[in-house]
Order: sequence, then C-alpha cells, then structure tokens
Amino acid sequence: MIRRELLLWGIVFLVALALRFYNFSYPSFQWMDEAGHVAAASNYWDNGQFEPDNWEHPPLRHIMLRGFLQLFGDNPAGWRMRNILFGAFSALLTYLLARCCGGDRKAASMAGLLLATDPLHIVLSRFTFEEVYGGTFFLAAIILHLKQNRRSSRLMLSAFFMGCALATKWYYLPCWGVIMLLALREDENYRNPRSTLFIATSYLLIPFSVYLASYYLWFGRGYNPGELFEFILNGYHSLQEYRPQGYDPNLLFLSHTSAWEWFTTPIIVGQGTYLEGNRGEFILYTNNLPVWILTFPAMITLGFLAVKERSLTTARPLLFFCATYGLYLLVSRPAFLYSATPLLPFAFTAIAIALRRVTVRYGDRWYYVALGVILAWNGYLYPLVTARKLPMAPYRYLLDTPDVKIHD
Amino acid sequence: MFANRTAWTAAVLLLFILTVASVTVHGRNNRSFAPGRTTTTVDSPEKAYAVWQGQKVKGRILLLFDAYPHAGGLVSYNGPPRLSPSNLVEFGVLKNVIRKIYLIVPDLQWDSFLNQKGIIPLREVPGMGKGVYLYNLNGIPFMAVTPSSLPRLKEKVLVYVNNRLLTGEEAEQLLRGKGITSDIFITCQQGGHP
Repeated sequence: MIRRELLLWGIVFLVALALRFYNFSYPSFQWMDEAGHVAAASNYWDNGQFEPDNWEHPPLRHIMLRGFLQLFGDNPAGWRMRNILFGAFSALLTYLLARCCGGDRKAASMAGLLLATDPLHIVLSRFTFEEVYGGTFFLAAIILHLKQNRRSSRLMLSAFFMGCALATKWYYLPCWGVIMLLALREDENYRNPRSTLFIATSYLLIPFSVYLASYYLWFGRGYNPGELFEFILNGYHSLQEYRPQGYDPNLLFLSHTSAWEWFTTPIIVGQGTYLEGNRGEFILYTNNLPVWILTFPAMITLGFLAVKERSLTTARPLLFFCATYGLYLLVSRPAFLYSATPLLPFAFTAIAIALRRVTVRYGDRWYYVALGVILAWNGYLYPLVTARKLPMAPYRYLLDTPDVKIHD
Repeated sequence: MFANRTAWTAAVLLLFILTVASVTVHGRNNRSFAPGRTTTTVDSPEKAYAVWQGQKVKGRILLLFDAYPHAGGLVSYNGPPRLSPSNLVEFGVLKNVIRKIYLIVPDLQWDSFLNQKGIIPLREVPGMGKGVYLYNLNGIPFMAVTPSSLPRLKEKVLVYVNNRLLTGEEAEQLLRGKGITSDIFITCQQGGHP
C-alpha cells in the first residue's frame, strides 16, 4: 500500500518537474519581471532595499532568489530553479491535500496531475513569479496542519511555513486565521487553556518571527520594529491605491483585472513571435477554462456532500478556497490572473474529488476517460505556454479570438 | 493532546522575543551619528552629501526644509545612481544615509502642496494635524508635515535647509521650539533644486 502511494507521489512529482524543467533556459535572457526580481534580490541582500521591485511586498522572495543565485549563478538556472522545484513540489502537495480531504488515491493522483500539467502553473513555474513558491509554502502549512495528529512539531512546522508564505505575499492572511481556528476547534482544544495557548502562540508568534526575520536586512538600514509597523501600514495603503491606469500600458495582464473572471471567462494573454512557414512561438498565460470552469460546480458539489455527510474533511477544499478567493474579490486593486495560482490546489482537489465521486458511481473507466481527456488537453496547450516553435494551424482558433492579447 | 505544550509555548515565546531583540539591535547598530555638532553652509545641494559622508552618518532621520525632492527611483538611472544637484535626498536614501524623512511644508502652503502634481499621499500620519505619508519608490517613511504639526523627535536628526525657502535661523528656531536636536545642520545658499 505504502509502496503504491510512494509510486504515485513519484509520478506526480516527476511529471511536474519534467514539464517545468524541460528547456527552462529559453529564453536565455531575463524575461518580463525577471529583470526586476533578480536586480532586487541583489539590492536587498547588499543594501536592504527593494528597488527596482515593489517595496510593498515582503522580502523573503529576495532572500530566496539570492540563495539560488549563489547556488546556480546569475544565469537562467539561478533565476528560475527556485520556481521549478517549488512548482513541482506544489503538485506533490496537491496530491497530499486531496488525500487529506477525503480523496482516494485516484482522486489525489488526478488533483496532483491537474496541477502538474496546468498551463498557468507551468508557465509561472518557469520564471520568477512569487505565487509559485509562496503558494507552495502555503500548501505545506495547510497539509502539516491537517496531518499534525496532535504532534507539536508538525503544528509548529505548519506555523513556520505559514510564516514563509506570509513573508512572500499577503494573499494567505485569511487562511492563516482559518487554520488557527480549525486547530483550536479540533478535539475541542479551545477548552484546554494550555492547548489554546500553545496553538495561539505557535500560529501567531512563529509566523510573526519569520516575517520579522525576513526584514532583517531592511532593519540594517537603521529601522526599528515600530517603523516596520509604520512601513507595513504604508504598504497596505499603497496597494489599495493601485489602479489599472497606474500600470505600464504594455502590461500583459491589464485586459483582465477582476478575480470574478478567473473561473468563468476565457483569459489568454502573453507574448508571441510569428515565425516563417506559418509557425510561431508563444509564452501565454491562460486560465485553461475547459478545466477551471469545473471549479464552481465542484465546490458546490463538495459543499452539498459535506452538509449531507456532516463532514468537515469533505468541506476543506471549499473552506480554504473561499477564504483565499474572498480576499481577491474584496480588494479594490486589480487582481491579475497570476494571483489565481494559490487557489489552484483547492480548485483541482475539489474537481478531482467531485469527478471521482461521479466515476465511482458510473464505473472506473470514466475516471480514466476524464483524466485522459484533461491531460491530453493540457498537453496540447503545453507548447503554447513554453515558447516551443509550433505550427499555427492547430492553435489558430485560440489565438485569433479578439479577446486574446498577444504582444509580438 | 500536544506533548510538552507548555515547554513549546515558552520556546516559541522566547524565539519571538529573540527575533524582536535581534532586529532591534541590528537596526540600532546601523544608525551612526556625528560625534559633535556640525553647522555648515554649502553652495550646492549635492555638497551636503559630502558633509554627511565625511561624518560617516547612516540610518538617519532627515528634516528637510525644501521643495519636494526628485525621487525617480533606481530605474531613472542608467547604471549605478550618481549624485547630482537634483537628487541629494534620493541619493542619500539609496546610500542608506537616510531612513526616514520629514518634509517641512509651511502651514500656509499646505493645501496647495497636497494638490501639487506628483504628490501621492498614502495616509494621514496619526497624531499630526497636518501630516501625510507620501508615496515614494523606495518605500521609506516619507512624511510631509507643517511646522505646527511637527512632533518632538527624541532622536538627533540631520537637517537640510534650502535658503530660498527659509533661513537657517528660522529653521533653528523651529527646532528649538520643538526640542529637536541635530548633529549636522546644513544650509544650502543657492538651493537651485528643483
């Protein structure tokens, strides 16, 4: 049993790794935000400053990137290996999440493979986007929480990873609270003062410590903790002021700025080059609507089943999804497509578990049909997001729609 | 039941205290003050930087009696930042001489200042009648305040006065009234910027 589980872990991880690793060094120059991210990593390490990247976001990303630059050098491997590895781990963690949410091995494999082959997750994993590794920390925190089994070390490790996620971006704040409340609710821990104190202390002070520590180099500019609080408040207010018209008009993501669109409207933006012989190469960001559109029905199904079965386990993907998605829907600033990344493990877990429930009813072969169709579709999109030179004809109907934004 | 939960709670608490202590000490150790008090006059803004550099100050609060300074960020340079008559403040920030700025805006000019092009207030400064944090590319706390709203500052500050806006004596008088002390007080005679 364990051997089979390990085999599935291995398959999911290796598929994810291979798709992210293959030809990762193309383009060989710093692409899109990479130039800013790499320069900012060095600037933060050397001077405690955030430029030319945004100063509003926490700086763990700069420290991590600096580490990878030291390991692999200032080249495509140094810039991108962090995301490749963390992206592959995300697929494995999605498998584990599905297992923690009542999914059997087939459901978990489908969830893991959905993330492993998702075109958006792949393209973000091949560059320096912080949603990939931040999302991986976030997922690790959730899984350790779900599997803590009253072990102090796992709970504290969960809190540590939550700190790492929060020290990357603030997306994860609502779920942080949800996890802490769930931990207090479990086994009625809130009735025991010592357990309550342990859980609250761990989930509050460990993330705070990680967050503070990530600013260590910034403190080297003479600041004190009170000034960090002032700085964070300024960052929050600054982010609230972001408006589409304030961005560079050439920014690819500007055509879709609402999180409401992510799971309901086709979004394809990116860069492309049209080559001779009716060929082209593209790096596109897409919400892969044929798969993502299943998210809301799957969430509703899980919600219905959770109520019917009175099972919190079944409701977990819905709970984490709503807590995270709610933030994107409520903020007044633009929410670009790449911000959907932390939602994908919950979405794919819900889709996989719901599909699995259906196929258990109608026969296993439908599971393989569904998995095969989804993987084939994702495989078809793979060249379109990874700058492969491809014939235009099979993709023309996708690229010629008026909503597609491609900058030559 | 979590094993050793009381001990772990204490350990986590200790970790947090140590983290706060270490960043506090790290911050304090990276603030440098001039040994005595220097009052000097320069004939061009960028020469003020040489004074700061000569006194080896860093991680400091600047009281700025000047117009809103140039702040285009690192992206406005082709190569490493270079000091020029128009970027003294930004250069000081990029070199970590300055960590926080109070830009003094005369009370009568406050409303027109807030409506100036390029001024992006982030939020009001709590406890100050007329004080706002201004957006800047480096993200340093950058407050515009009127002389009447300027708080008492316990820490010694750097002072830079553009003589075209205010005389050194007027600025000194304001600081005395507020109980603010300074280790380097620079008056710029020409103050051509911006």
